[in-house]
Amino acid sequence: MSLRASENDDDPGRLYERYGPALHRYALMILGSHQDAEDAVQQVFLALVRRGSRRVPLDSVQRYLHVAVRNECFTLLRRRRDTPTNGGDALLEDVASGQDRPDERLALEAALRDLPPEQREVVFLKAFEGLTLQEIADLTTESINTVASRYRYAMEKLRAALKQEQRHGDS
Amino acid sequence: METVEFEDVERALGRYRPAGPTPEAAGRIAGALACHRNRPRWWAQAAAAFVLLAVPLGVWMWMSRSSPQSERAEASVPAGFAAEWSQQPRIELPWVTAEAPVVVVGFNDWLCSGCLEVYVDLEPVLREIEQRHPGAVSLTLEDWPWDLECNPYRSSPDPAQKSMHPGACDVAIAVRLAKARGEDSDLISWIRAHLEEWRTSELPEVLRPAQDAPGRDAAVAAMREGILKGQRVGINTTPTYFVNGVKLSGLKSREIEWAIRLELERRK
Repeated sequence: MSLRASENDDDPGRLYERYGPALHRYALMILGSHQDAEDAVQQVFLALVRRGSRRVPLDSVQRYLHVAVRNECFTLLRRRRDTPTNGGDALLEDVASGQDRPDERLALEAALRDLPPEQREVVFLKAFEGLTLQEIADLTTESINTVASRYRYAMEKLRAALKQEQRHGDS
Repeated sequence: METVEFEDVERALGRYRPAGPTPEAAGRIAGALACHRNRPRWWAQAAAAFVLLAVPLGVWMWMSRSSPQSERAEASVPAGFAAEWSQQPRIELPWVTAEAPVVVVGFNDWLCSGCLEVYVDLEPVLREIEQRHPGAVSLTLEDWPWDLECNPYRSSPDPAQKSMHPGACDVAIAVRLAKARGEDSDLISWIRAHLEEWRTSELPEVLRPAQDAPGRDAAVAAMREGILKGQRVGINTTPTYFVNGVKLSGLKSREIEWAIRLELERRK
């Protein structure tokens, strides 16, 4: 499928309506900041517009956008290696109302913030997007062993954070 | 290779999902895309660009003969940025009393390389603008040192969290003291040239003002006041600049310059 920025279904505005929120979540998990995520997603879509009628021969629009956002995020991270960001941006929101576990959410957010962006990304793609490790390896162009390791390290840290939160809750 | 060993963590994560964009953020991006989408075809753009360039160029050349210091700036602000700028939310900075047409407030950590880059980029721009429009732009730099010694920011609930830039409070005071002596530009240039050296070593003495240094108390008070202002407006990134109440965060020297020029044009 080729991608053309024009007045048809591949119009960047319509693509943003369809994929924008999911891409923002992806960028947020990598960058840890809503402002940065917004900037990254906007840059990707504006680049799409600037291509005009140039065709981008890719097998899927969604994958193209994910790869583009990913590249933009890591470019941003390289550029601002030592600029602290995010401070207090919320990374997670409740799926269902009435769950009433604010401490658990805060513990998970804090643990996620402490992860390297690459590990956060794998957690997002596997735990939230439901991709397999192989699919994540294809998207990130990393080896499946690297992806599996990142996932394992990340989940072990999240598990430790949850156990610590539970201990505080019991005391 | 797939594993169920983290089922408990996945179950916990399953109660949440990553936060999405706010409606305002989504609206901003959609608006920016709509602006670009409504552009005419390339040949019409080329024709329009030719006309748009030829006419102002002719006017500029005519005006240059009688005004050697002609404006270079407004023509260089991208149309896309100008369109987006007009839609940006503005907040009130309640402490600002400056009456200049353009009020710029920046929040800085002098141990943050991004802050140094933006500062160095903006210095000649602001000097040029001041020459052409004396008093039109008011710039105030506040301190936002990522140092828990003076700034109780928290990026994690962990009580053992370390400062991101240890010593940044001292450096903020040192820069303020240097500014009082008219030597801040030199000191900032020096910090920028040597920043990498201090990643694993102690800051040099010149950046650690003595407790009894003249003017230190006032510098400390000004720094603390800046931190309180930053807390009021929710600073979570440095550098962050506000141009007439519109926030720009990160390495955005060009955007800050464009914003200042647009605001100057708006307030003529």
